[in-house]
Amino acid sequence: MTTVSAEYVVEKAQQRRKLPPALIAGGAVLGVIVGLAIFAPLVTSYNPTTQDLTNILAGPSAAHWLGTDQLGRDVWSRLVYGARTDLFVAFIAVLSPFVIGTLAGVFAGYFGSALDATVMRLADVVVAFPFYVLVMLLVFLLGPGTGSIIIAITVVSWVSYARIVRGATLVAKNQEYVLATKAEGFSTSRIVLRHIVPNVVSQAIVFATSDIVLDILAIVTLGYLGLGIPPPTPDWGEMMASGQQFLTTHWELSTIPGIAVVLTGLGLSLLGDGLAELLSVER
Amino acid sequence: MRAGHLVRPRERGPALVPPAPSGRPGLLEVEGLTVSVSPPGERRRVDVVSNVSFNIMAGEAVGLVGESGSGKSLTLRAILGLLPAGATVKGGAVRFEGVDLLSGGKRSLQRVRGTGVTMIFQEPMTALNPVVRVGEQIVDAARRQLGWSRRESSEHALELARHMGIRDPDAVLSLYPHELSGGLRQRVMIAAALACQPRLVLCDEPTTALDVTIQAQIVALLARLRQESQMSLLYVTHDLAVVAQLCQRLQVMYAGSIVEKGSVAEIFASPRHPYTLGLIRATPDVHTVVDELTGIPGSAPHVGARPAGCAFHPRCSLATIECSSGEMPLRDLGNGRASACIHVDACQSAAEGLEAVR
Repeated sequence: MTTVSAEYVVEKAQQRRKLPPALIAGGAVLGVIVGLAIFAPLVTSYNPTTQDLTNILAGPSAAHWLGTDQLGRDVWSRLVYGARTDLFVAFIAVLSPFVIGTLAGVFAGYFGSALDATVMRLADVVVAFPFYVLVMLLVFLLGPGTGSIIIAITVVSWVSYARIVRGATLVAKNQEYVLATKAEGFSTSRIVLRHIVPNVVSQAIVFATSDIVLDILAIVTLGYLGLGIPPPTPDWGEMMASGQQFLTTHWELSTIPGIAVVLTGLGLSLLGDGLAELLSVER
Repeated sequence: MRAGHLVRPRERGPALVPPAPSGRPGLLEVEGLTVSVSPPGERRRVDVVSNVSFNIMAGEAVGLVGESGSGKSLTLRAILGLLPAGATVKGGAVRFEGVDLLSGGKRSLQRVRGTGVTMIFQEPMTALNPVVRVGEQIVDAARRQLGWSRRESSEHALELARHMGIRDPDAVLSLYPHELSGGLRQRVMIAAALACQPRLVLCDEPTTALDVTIQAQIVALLARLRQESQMSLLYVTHDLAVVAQLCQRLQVMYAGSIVEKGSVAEIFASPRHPYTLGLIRATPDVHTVVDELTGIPGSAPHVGARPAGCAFHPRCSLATIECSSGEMPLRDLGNGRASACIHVDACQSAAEGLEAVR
C-alpha cells in the first residue's frame, strides 16, 4: 500500500511573529534602566556613599549632573546605584513568590481534595490582611533589611500566583492530552511538571510583570518609611524620604527618584502588556 | 433525501481485512465489567456499563459499536483505569496477558500503560499538548519507557512520522499542534501511541472528528499498522462502515450492555438482534437509491431510566410482552456469535429482507 499523502500548514511555521509594539517600547525603557544599573560603575564617576560635606545641596553642574544631596553625595550616582539595589531586590521578591505560588497552585489544582483545601484556606488567611499592613508587620518583626523585605513580599504575594495557576490547572487537568499522557504510562510528577506546568505558567508570567511593579513600589515605600534597606546603601525610597525636608529649596532631590520609579513602573507595565499579547497569540 | 453520496468502504477492496487469527491465547479478557455513576443531582448510583464481557486475541481488531451514551467509551477507559471523576468500577475483571488490571492497583496499571495497552483519542486537537513540539510528544513516552537517548529518540521520531505517512517529517516535527491540520494531528497522535510498540491499542472514535477523506486515510493507516506489527485494536465507534473496513469481530452495545457479538461478515450479512438490524438499515448505501433512510424510532434511554427487561424493547418492532421483564443475557448462537434477543428467529427472518435489498 502506498504512502498516504498528508497536508500541513507550512506557511504558519515560516510566518515571522510580529512583536507587539508595547513589548518593544517597554523593553526599550526597561533595557536602558537595567543597563544603567548593571553598568553603574561605568556611567558614574562618584561613589554613591562618599560624603563631601564641603559641597552639600549643590545644584546640577558639569561635575554633578543632578547635583548633590544634604551630605554632599552625588545624586546621579545614588540614583543609578539605587536602581541596582531596588531592581535586584524586586527581581528576587517576584521570583520567589512566583516559584512558590506556581508550585502550590499547580499541585493544589491537580490533586484537589485536602491539599487543595489547605492551600486555598491558607491563601484566604493571607488575603484577609491588607497588603501593606502585612508586609510592614513582617518587616518590622524580622527587622529591616533586604532578606526581610524578600521574605515579607513572598509570604504575601505567593497567593496571587497560586490562585491564578490553580484555576488554569483545573482547566488543564481535564484536557484530553493529560488523559493521553496517563494512557501512555507517565508518572504523576512527570505529567504535572512537564505537561501541566508549561501550559499554566504563561499566565503566572504575565501576572509577574505587573506584580514586579507593585513590588518595586512596596520596596520604595518601605524605604521611604524607614523600614527598607538600611542606609547608606542607596535606595530610591530612602532618597525621596531624605530629600523631603528640602522640598521648598531643592525639590529635585525627592522628585528625581520619584521619576525613576514612575519610568520603571511604566516600562514594566508596557512589557507586561506586550508579553500578555504575545503569549495569547501563541495559543 | 438521496442517500447515495457516501461510499461504502468495504466495497473498495477486500485486501485490508485478513482473516482473524485463531487458536492463540486471549490478549485482553474483560469479564463482567460493571461501571456505575451518579446521575447529576442524585445520590443513587446507576450502572452505565453492566456485565460486559469480551476478549481480544493477539493481532485481532475488534469493533465496539453503539450510540452516544451506550457506555462504549467508559468501557474503554475502565480498561486503562482512566475513568472520569465520579465513575467507578463496581465489579468484574480486566485481564491483560493474564494480569488483572482492576485489582492490581496503580502499579500494575502503570506497568501495562504505554508499552502494553495504549489509547488513541477522538479529538486530536485537545489530545496533544499545545505547548510541546509534536516531535517531542511522539517520543516522550518512549524515551521514558524504553530509555531512548535524545539522539536516538529524534531518529525514532522521524522514522515513526515517515511510517505514519507524514510527508516532510523534518518540518512537521518542529511544529506545535495548532500549526497542523486535523488529519496530521491524528497521525501524530497515532505515532505517539505506537512509539512504545504497544500490543493493544484502544481507539476511542479516532476518526469521528475528521472529514470523510481524511477518515478513510486514517482507517487505512491503522489497518496497515495492525497488519505490519501484529498489534490488536479495540475500536470504539458509531460508524459501521469503519468497522466493516477495519475489524474482524464486532460487538454491539446498547444501554450499557453488549446485545450482539460475532464476526463482522456474519453480523453484516445476518444480524441477530433488532438493534443491530436497525443500525445496518440506517446506514446509507451508495448502490441503492432510497427516498428515505430507515431510522430506529425513539431515542436511547437515559442513564438511570432504562426500561426493565430488554432495554431496547420500547423501540423494537419485534417486541412482545415477554421482552418487557426479566433478565436478557447474551445467548450463545454457536460459531462465536451471541445475541441478547429472545426473538432471534424472528430477527433472522426480518434480516432476510436486508439481504434482498443488497
